[in-house]
Amino acid sequence: MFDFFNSIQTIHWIVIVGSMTLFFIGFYGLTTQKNLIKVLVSFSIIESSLFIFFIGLHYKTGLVAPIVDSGLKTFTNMVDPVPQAMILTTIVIGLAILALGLSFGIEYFKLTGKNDISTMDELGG
Amino acid sequence: MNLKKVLPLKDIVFSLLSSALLLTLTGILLQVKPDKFKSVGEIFLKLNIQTATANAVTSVVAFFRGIDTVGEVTVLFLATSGVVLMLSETQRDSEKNIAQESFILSIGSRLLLSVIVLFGVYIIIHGHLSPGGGFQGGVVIATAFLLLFLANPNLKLRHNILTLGESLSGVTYILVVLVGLFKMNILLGNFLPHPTNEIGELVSGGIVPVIYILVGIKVGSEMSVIVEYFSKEDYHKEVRDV
Repeated sequence: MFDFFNSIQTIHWIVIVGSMTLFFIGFYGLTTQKNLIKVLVSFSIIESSLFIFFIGLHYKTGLVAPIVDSGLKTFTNMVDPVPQAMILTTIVIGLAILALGLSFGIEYFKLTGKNDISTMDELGG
Repeated sequence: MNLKKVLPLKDIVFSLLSSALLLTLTGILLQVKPDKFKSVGEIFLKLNIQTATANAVTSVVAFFRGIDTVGEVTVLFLATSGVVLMLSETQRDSEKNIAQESFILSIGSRLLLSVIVLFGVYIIIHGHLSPGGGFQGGVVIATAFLLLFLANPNLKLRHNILTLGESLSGVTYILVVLVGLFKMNILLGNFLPHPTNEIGELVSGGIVPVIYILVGIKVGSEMSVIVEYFSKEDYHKEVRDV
């Protein structure tokens, strides 16, 4: 019965449904929350759903991680290394954006004393 | 009990909209069969034996798409500059209230610091052999400094050393790229010897481990600065609730 769970369609199905659910949890938070910190956390949740989506869709059964080890001598039967490298880049950029956004939020709170995005009208919005 | 009073109408509309979008996008994505596509990764895996790097992800990050990594560390540098610019004002204010530090926490964190930094350095210099590399090891080193800042509130990093390491590694990265251009006629040419029968050894892969060590130094110092500025935030200030 476990062959069903090992089949590639089932794994892709689980990855798509799970990552899209996570995406819309973040989307819901992004649209309904008013606290600036919570908005940034929702942004981060959306990012992690995209990481899971990319890595999970490039997984194939029967293939190993793209690293030559003691038992392996050639680069065959390995998963695609490009999505992993791209997601590594994306994680670092996401971290940088989160740190920068949080520092902007802290500075805004220090200047005005509010972190509610519906009351941010300094630019006449 | 009225549902409209417990949940605002806007929340209900947004959750219904999110669910509809979720079902639509999931339905579209489930039609995709990724097995049908030929990917550039297969070409990279075929060419990867020439770089003599055991970890194919590292050779993609630091060699095949090494110019991308230059841009990536630039983005990280800009974000660090922004964080320092935003939060350096508050650091001057918080010098006034000097917190008491615990003796056991202070000594314990200093003991753990060397072990965590050693682990980070191990991850960095084995980036071309095993999972890990410059970005991951750099963040591990930054967690060591986070532990130090949590245990010793009055600690200050010596920013001239961090700035020196950060800028020297960045400049050396650009120099490695340019030396590849002059010696091999391509940007980021692998000008160091990299015999393919030495694959899997610590000194192998030519410039790939060099680049990842430079990235590790750069990321480690930048993340340490970010961690320092965020942990030095004045958390005694009264937070007005929304």
